[in-house]
Amino acid sequence: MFLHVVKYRLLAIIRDRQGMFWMLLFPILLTSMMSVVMMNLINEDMSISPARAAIVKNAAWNSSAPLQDVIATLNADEESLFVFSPVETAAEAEQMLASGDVHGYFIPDAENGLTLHVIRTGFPQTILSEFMSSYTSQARLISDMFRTDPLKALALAADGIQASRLTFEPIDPAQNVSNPWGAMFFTLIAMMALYNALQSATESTAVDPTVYSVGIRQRTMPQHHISIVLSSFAAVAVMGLLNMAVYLLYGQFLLGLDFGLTAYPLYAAAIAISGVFAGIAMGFLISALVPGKRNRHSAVIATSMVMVFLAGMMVLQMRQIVRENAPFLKYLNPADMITDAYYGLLYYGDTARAARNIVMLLVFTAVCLLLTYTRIRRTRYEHL
Amino acid sequence: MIQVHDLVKRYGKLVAIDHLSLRIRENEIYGLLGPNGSGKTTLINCMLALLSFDNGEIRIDEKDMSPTAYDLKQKIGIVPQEVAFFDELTVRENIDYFCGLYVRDKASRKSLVDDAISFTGLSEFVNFRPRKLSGGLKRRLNIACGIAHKPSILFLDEPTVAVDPQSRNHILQGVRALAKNGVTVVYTTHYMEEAEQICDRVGIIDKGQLLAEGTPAELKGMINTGDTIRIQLIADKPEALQEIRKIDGVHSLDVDADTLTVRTMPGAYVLDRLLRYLHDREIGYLSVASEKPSLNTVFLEITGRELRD
Ligand SMILES: Nc1ncnc2c1ncn2[C@@H]1O[C@H](COP(=O)(O)OP(=O)(O)OP(=O)(O)O)[C@@H](O)[C@H]1O
Ligand SMILES: [Mg+2]
Repeated sequence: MFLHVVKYRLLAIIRDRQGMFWMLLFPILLTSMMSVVMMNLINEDMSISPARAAIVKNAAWNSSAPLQDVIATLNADEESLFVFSPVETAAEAEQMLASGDVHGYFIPDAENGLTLHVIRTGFPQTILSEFMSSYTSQARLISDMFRTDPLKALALAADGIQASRLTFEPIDPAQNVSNPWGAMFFTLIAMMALYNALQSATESTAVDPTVYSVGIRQRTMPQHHISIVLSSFAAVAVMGLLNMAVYLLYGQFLLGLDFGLTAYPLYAAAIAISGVFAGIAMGFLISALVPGKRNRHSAVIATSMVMVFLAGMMVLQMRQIVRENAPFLKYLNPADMITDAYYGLLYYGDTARAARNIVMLLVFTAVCLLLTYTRIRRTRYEHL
Repeated sequence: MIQVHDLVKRYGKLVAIDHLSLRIRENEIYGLLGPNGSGKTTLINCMLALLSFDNGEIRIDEKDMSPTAYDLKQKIGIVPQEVAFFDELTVRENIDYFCGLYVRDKASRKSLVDDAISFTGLSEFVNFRPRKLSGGLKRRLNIACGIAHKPSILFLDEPTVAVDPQSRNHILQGVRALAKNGVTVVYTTHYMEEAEQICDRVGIIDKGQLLAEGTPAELKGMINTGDTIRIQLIADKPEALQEIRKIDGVHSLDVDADTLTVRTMPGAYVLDRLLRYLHDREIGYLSVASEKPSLNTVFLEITGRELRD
C-alpha cells in the first residue's frame, strides 16, 4: 500500500509542470542569474581596481597633519581600496581626471573638510564620496568594510554618489571569508527548501474531502487515513530531496558557488535534508490551518517569502536586525536556521552551530507535524 | 443491508436531514429521488461516515458504520457527485491507484482494472489524462474508479449529471448489469425518468425528509390522478373554461396563459370529451399532449411543487 501510493504520488508530482518549475527550475534560474551578476560586479569594481584619486597639496593640506596621516596610511595599506596621488596644483589634478588616470580629486579646505571633484558616477566615485564625507574618523572603517562585506558596499554603489550615511557595524565579521557573497545563496537554499511546502499543500488537498472531491474518495478507502497521508509525505520528501540534491550539485560544481559539499559534505547534506523536511512539514501545517486550495498556496508562498526575507534574502543585514529586535523569531523561522547553519559552517567552520540549527530544524518539523496531526485527526467532518 | 434510523444532520441552523429512516435491501437498486438541495448528498456522506451527524444511527450489514469500519469500507464503492480522480494520472493509472488501496495483489488487480475499463467502455482512452476526456467520459472514469475493486455495495451520487444521452444510457445499463451481478446500489438522482427506468425501489426525499417510498409502480398507485393532458390554446384564457371541471373524469384544472393542464381521475378516459367540449365552444387549440402519470406527478402531488425548478 505504502509503495503503491508513493509511486503514484511521485508520478503525479513529476508530471505537474508548474510545480516542477517552481520547485526546481525557478531556484536554479534565479541562482544562475544572481551568480552571473555577482561575479561581474565583483570582477569589475571590487577585487581588481581600487578607487584612484588625486589630492591637491594646497595650504589646508600642509596644515593638516591628520589628513596627511590618513592618506599615507591608506596608501601604505596593500589591501586599501584607495590609491591617492598627491599633486601640486588643481589644474594638474583636473588634467589627471580628464585623462582618466584618477576617478576624482580632492581639494582640502581650511575647515578640515574635503571637496570632491568627479566627472562621472560609478562605484569608485561612490567610495571617494564616502571617503570625503567621513574621512576624519571613518576612512579606515570604509576600507575595512569593503574587505569584510562587499555586498553592503555594493548596495551603497547603487545609491550613487549622493550616498551620505554609512553604518559601520560589519555583519558577521569573518576572518576567513573566502567567498563572502555566498551568503546571498544560503537564503536561496532556504527558499528552495521552503518551496517544498507548496507540494505538501497540494498533497494535503488531495486527501482533504472538504476542498477536493478526490479527498472524499480517499476517505472512503479501507485504510487508516493517516497512512495515506504519510505515504504522500514520503513521496514529497523523495522529490524534495532529489530537487535539493540537483540544486546543490549544480550550484557547487557548475556555478562554482561554495555550498560546503566538498569541505563538509555530511553537514551540508544534513542541513539540506532537515531543511527540506521543515519545508514539507510547514506546508502540511499551513494546509491544516487554511481552508481552500488556492488560499493554501498563497499562504505557503507568503509565509516562505517572509521567512526568506527575514533570513536576509533581499537585504543581508535583515538577519542582524531580526537578531537585535526580535531574537525569538529565529526559533520560528526555518529559513533563518538554514541560512545560519551554512553561515556557521562555511564562514567559521563552526560545525556545532550547524548542528544546533539542524536540531532546531528537526524540532520545527516535528512540532509542525504534531500540530497537523492534532488538526486532522478527527475523521468525520461537520461540513463537507 | 443498509439501515438508516432517525437520522438528523444540521448545518448550523439548516436542517439538512430531518429524522430520516430508511432501509435498503440486499441486491436492490434503491433510488433517492429529490430536487436540488433536498439532502441526497448529505445523506450519502453520512452513510459513508464522512460526515458527523446530530442524531440517529447508520448500520451496514448489521454493523455500525464508522470512519474506522475498514471491513465495511472494503465492500463499498463510491461514485461521488463531483468527479474524483487525479488530473496528473492517466485513466488507467487512476483506476489502478484507487483499486490498489483495496486490493494488494498485483496480478488480480490488473484483471480487475481491465474489467473496470472494458465495463465502462474506456478501452480507447486508457492512456488519456482526464483533462482530455469529454464530460461523459469523465463521468465514466469516475464510475470506473469506484467499481474496480468489485464492491458489493455501490453508492452513486447523480452519476449522469451533464452527460449526453448516449453516455447516460451506457451508465444506466452498466448500473443495471452490476445489480444483476449481486451489487446493492444506492442511486441518487433528480431525474425521475432515471429512477423509474432502473430503480427497484425509490425513496422520494425533500427538505431532508423521506416523503414516500416504494417501487415506481407503487408510488404511482399512491396518487389519485391519472393522465395529465396539456392543451396549447390559440387565444389567451378564453371564457367558459371553468366548466371543464364538470366533465366526467376530470380531477383538476389549471390554466396558465394559453396552456390548459387537465388532470384526470385514475383510469378515466377524458380526452375525447374534452376535445368535443372545446370544439362545441369554438375554442381553437394548437396542440394536445397526454402524459401517463410519472414520479414527477407523484412528487408534485406530495409536495405541491415540480421536481425540477
Ligand atoms: N457544507 C455545507 N454547509 C452548509 N450547508 C450545506 C452544506 N452542504 C450542503 N448544505 C445544505 O444542505 C442542504 C442539502 O444539501 P445536499 O448537497 O445534501 O443536497 P442534494 O440533494 O445533494 O442536492 P443536489 O441535487 O444539488 O446535489 C442544502 O440546503 C444545502 O444548501
Ligand atoms: Mg448532491
